[in-house]
Amino acid sequence: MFLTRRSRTRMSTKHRGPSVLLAVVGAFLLFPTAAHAQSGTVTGQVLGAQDERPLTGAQVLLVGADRGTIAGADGSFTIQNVPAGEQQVQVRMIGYRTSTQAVTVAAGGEARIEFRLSQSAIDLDGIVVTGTPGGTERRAIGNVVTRIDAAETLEVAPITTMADLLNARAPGVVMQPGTGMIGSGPRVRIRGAASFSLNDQPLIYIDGVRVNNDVASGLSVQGFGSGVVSRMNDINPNDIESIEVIKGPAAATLYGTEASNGVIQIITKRGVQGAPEFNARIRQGANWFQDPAGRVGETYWRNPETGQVESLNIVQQEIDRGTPIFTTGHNQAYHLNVSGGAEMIRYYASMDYESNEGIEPTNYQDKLSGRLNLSVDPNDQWDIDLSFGLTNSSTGLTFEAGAGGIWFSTIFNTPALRDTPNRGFLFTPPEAVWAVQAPKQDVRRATSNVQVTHQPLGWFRQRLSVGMDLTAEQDESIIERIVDPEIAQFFSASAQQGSGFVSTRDVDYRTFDYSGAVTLDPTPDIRSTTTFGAQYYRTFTEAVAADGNGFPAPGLRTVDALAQTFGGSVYFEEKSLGFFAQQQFGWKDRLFLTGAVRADDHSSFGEDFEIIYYPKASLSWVMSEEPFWNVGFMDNVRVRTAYGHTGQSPQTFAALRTFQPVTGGDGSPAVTPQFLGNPELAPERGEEIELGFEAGLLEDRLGVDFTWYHQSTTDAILNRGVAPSGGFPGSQVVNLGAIQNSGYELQLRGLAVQRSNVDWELNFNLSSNESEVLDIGDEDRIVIGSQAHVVGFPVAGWFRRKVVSADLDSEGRAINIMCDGGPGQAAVACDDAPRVYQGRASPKYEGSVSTTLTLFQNLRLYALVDFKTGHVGFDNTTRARCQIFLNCLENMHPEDFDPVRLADVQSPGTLVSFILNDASFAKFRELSASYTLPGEWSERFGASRASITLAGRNLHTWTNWTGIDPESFFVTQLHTRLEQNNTPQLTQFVATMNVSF
Amino acid sequence: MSLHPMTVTDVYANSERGRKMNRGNIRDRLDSWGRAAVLLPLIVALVGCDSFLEVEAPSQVIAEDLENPANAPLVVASSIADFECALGFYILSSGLLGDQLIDTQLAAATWDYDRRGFANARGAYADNTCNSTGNIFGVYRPVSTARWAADNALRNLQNWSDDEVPGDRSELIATAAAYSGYSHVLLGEGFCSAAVDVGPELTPDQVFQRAEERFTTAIETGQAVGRSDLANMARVGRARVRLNMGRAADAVADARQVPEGFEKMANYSTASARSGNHPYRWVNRFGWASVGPLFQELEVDGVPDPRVPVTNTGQTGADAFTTVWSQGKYPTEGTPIPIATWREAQLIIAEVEGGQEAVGIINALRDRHDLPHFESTDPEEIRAQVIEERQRELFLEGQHIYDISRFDLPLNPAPGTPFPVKGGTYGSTTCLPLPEVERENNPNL
Repeated sequence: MFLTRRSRTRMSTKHRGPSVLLAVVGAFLLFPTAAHAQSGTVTGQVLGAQDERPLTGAQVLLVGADRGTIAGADGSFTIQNVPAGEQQVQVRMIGYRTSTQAVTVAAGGEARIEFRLSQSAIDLDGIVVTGTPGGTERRAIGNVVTRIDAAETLEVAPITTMADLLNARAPGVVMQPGTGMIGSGPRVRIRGAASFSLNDQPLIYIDGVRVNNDVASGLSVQGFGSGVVSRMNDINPNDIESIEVIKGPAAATLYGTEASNGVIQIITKRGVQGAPEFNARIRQGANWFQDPAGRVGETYWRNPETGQVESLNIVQQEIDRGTPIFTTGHNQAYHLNVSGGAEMIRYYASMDYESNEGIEPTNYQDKLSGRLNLSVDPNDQWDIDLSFGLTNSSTGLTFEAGAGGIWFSTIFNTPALRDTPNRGFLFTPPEAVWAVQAPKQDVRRATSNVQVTHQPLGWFRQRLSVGMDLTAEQDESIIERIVDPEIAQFFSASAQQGSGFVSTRDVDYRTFDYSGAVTLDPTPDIRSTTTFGAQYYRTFTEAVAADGNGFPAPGLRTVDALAQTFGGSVYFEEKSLGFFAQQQFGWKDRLFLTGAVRADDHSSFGEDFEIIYYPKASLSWVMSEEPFWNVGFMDNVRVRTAYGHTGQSPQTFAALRTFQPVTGGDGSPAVTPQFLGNPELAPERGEEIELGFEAGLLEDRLGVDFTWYHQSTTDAILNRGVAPSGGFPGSQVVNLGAIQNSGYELQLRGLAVQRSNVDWELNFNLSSNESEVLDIGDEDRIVIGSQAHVVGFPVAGWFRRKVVSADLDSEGRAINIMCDGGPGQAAVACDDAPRVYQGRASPKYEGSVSTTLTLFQNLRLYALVDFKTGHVGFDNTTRARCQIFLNCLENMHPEDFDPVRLADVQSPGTLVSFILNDASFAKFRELSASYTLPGEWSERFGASRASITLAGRNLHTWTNWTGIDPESFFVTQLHTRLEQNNTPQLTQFVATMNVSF
Repeated sequence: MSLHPMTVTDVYANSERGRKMNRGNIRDRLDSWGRAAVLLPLIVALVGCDSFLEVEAPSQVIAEDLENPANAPLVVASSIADFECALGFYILSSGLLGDQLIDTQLAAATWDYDRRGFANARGAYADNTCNSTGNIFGVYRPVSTARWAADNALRNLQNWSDDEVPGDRSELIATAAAYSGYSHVLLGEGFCSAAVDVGPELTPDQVFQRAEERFTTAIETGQAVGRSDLANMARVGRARVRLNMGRAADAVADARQVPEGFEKMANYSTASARSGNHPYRWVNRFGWASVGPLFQELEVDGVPDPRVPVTNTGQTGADAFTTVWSQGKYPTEGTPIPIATWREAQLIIAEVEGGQEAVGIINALRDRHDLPHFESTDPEEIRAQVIEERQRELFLEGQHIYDISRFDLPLNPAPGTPFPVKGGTYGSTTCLPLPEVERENNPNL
């Protein structure tokens, strides 16, 4: 069973506020169910205008009744209980123009209607999730919401993870993967760094339920205290219908405290009315490290006996030896889903098995997942959606980064050890590590929710959503007692005795969300929508760990068999409660004015801090629908603006002055100072204004979506250092700082050719981010390693001393070294030099270019190149080679190098500008060819549709980066972008077959 | 030790707030919610719910709970625990800064200890706490925390009454004062200057003066309640700081009162990484440091000196360069470390008195290990031998770094010598600078 003992125990006591639940249930029961009027049925089909392809998933709405259905696999639909008389039926689909037709329905009769939709490069009528019941038409909201059509993207792109699905498809959403280790995932940063110290990750919701968005979990195999297993990638892309990204405070106000980093809404697939339709997808492929010998390169050593400089390319040496360090991993996936149902109840169910292997034998992920979504519409007034998703995965980890492990010994190899048992590896040949260590994480995760939408009256709709996301992680790293002398020789005596670590970590998210909407038409031209609601979130984490050292005999693998054992457990909990009210006025369905306020309280706020209020206002105007509009080449134009606030809660318990229970020297209980606390601690406040427009040009064949944003964070939480003499360690969290981010986001979509046999689409995304620190209290700067927050500069910019001149002496030593003296200052001796700004760590610009060419309706060619630029990385791999292990060419032949560079290289780590390098890159990220079999071929094996896709991922990188991969860094690091022998992004080839029955 | 440390559960039991951390009564806040009147039905429902934002914090102890006199035994026991941890890290850091230990690591964060660097007074030595039990450790925070914890306990105990405090309040006062005194000793000897309670910068002598005051309290209070162990511990400590302040006669007066064989030990255990014997963990268990060349294979007239037990492990450290020599003085993770001993008191007497009394003390200490006797009538030779005996007798007890300063001993390797493999050169500092983290965050500096 998924639920652990602890979970069950807590669940039995979780409802501390039954009165709220009763109130909401009461609100639902207050309204009587209305009786059915005389009615008929509307049936029909939705097809593409150019290719007459069925448009599965098109939304079919009964205008005025605020209800409808979804077109099935063959584009057909049925709406029952349609009031007799003339009705307007409207069909909407992303990427197509909305179409409305009149139909006359006879009582007890059936009316048929057919829609042929033309493609459109912009979408004004799609329904997006905004935190209010039932969603909102895109045209009515004043902020940009980027939507990714997951099902369509999966058809053409080599998508194996949720991160793949998001990457380069939403301007302003910067995905930073950090490592290519299988099982890892990216840091996601939307519109720049909005906080100095708090979590920078957007909230993730699945079908309205807030879920675990941990960037990295699991065992610290990276060194520097980081695990890398991503919770985002637990989510199966095959089950996703669409993703909507809400980017900043202006848009996320209704999500309240914790939403200042934006919100990612994942909408999973739901069944459509009709006979059961089975979809099967099989994927086979390979993952590999492209050109490892070239990218890891050579190390050098001067042989003291011969005086000659020797070199070693250890990757090539191992390839030649027949024992390659990095091998090709197999990736495979098998997905089956079925959907269908009647008008009253529809279903979507799926099962998915996926197995991915990395480039080391210990790195893999096996994942079994399933989903069951039910939609129950007992009558016109009630919609009940139930969702249940399960994931069970096992992730084996690699030994990269930090200090120690395969990568460390490989990257920092030395010719000096070539003729030893090490074969040149610094500490340990790979096979010795792989023989004894296999750290892994097993995860069981369940996400479920029940959403009840009730429309008791034509003017009132309410929605209750209750859900939970339970993640049970189990980490394990056991090193058995090492007895094989061939292996043991590489380990210390204590390490040979073995060790063990096991831990369980349960993370539990609970969501309780109620909202209601009153829609009135005070005049024929004006529609008033009043929305209100309340959300209650509870998150708690409980972890238990045991570790120890010294197995008395080989073969033992459990912690209790260790000679010395330790154990511990921790528990964290957060709760938040918020209310909102929103008023929107729409005029002639083309001008929309919205105002809202949200009030939040949170368990992490200081005891002296009161409730926080977040206001919001927005304006949206579909100018092209005004009678005066007469711009021939601009068919659809909407301008919009939005202003809003949101926040970010302090870290759990940060407000409290606490002591930590510890063990005294005699083994007795004791406590030690832990956090100084701050009773006045408040949330960070994000404020944003955005302006933008969408335009459909040239008969909607060119879509332009442009947004400019300007946001600021005030009361930014800083970790102010604490004087150690005061007794407390670490730092005190205080609301002292301010940050400003601004930039633009541009999305172009061009339908270059639209003919029956040729369809060519081009997409271009570009976003920029200007980041500036406005205030850090009394400090001149807040230093984070080689980075610093300095007023007037980007958040966490690189600040180090910079050598500007040096000479070389006859012994190859840099002398007369002078450093930049600061702005407007003369060069000074480096010991007296200030740290000077050397660039920003996060990209200033990011974007992508993609194209899809469809030939003869069957063959689809697709390519995507994405890029990030305007930032600097810290190439610590090169630094360690040159400054610590002294095995660079600069160390051997200094006379061949610029003395300025040598001044850095020869310093004891105090001068590092030579590895602060431009990390700009462009990646040929995705390439695919997809062929849909002709219908008669598919029918031969009983399928209604079948396609085959060949695709590649991470095929080429254009960059001047000096390290192995410009995307590499330690993913747990909030701001630091430092590469040190991380696994690069792996190249991938996949062949996929999709079959529908 | 007759303290009866309370468990963390006891703390909760003694807390009015119990284990709950209440963010505040939401009922009191409802006036503010009036602006959201449209939500009236829900708000009415919330009136009956006080605990919506109440969360559990079972892993932490809220500070105000420790201000309850009922928790006094736990507070004092905790200050001892903080000191014992700090002492372990102090021995490591001072051993590396001096020549008892050498670094074997790849992690640059610890090189400054061995390299005698600290040019910018930042880094792990300043920031890391006792919870940093990995390969990078700190010393200023552990010692400062131990000093604050003992002084805080002392302050509270002096403000509470006998009736409020369970057990013997005077005994607790003597204990807190003695450990506060020793925390001050580490601050004064190990650091070029220091600060206490976010106050102004203090010279080592000012720190020693504070230590003397606390040792005096411990001696007087300890004697009054019949705790001779605490009184003798404080006598050794007071003798040490008086000697450091140049008051040799006062030092000898204290030292002579210490009974033969007296030892006050810091306790360690395998219960957690934090509570382990750090010199054992670093040198023997993990090989992150090695005994330095000057302390390898020491002999007395050809007889191996058991006071400096050292073994060549044959293993190379993480820097792939340094051979690890383990120490045998602390052979397990639970081996106690001496804080105050009769041996030290005797060596203080020998140092001050010199002459044949010093020779006699040297030989009495050697007799404990069946080592050959030392014979000399040359005052300089005797003084040099006392210094040498201190190095061996007090090996890895946190005494040597200040001896280097007091006796102006040569640094080894000499300043300017290249720091092997890892870059840079050896510096000349023999005290740790007051860290920038103190200067930047202490308004009185």
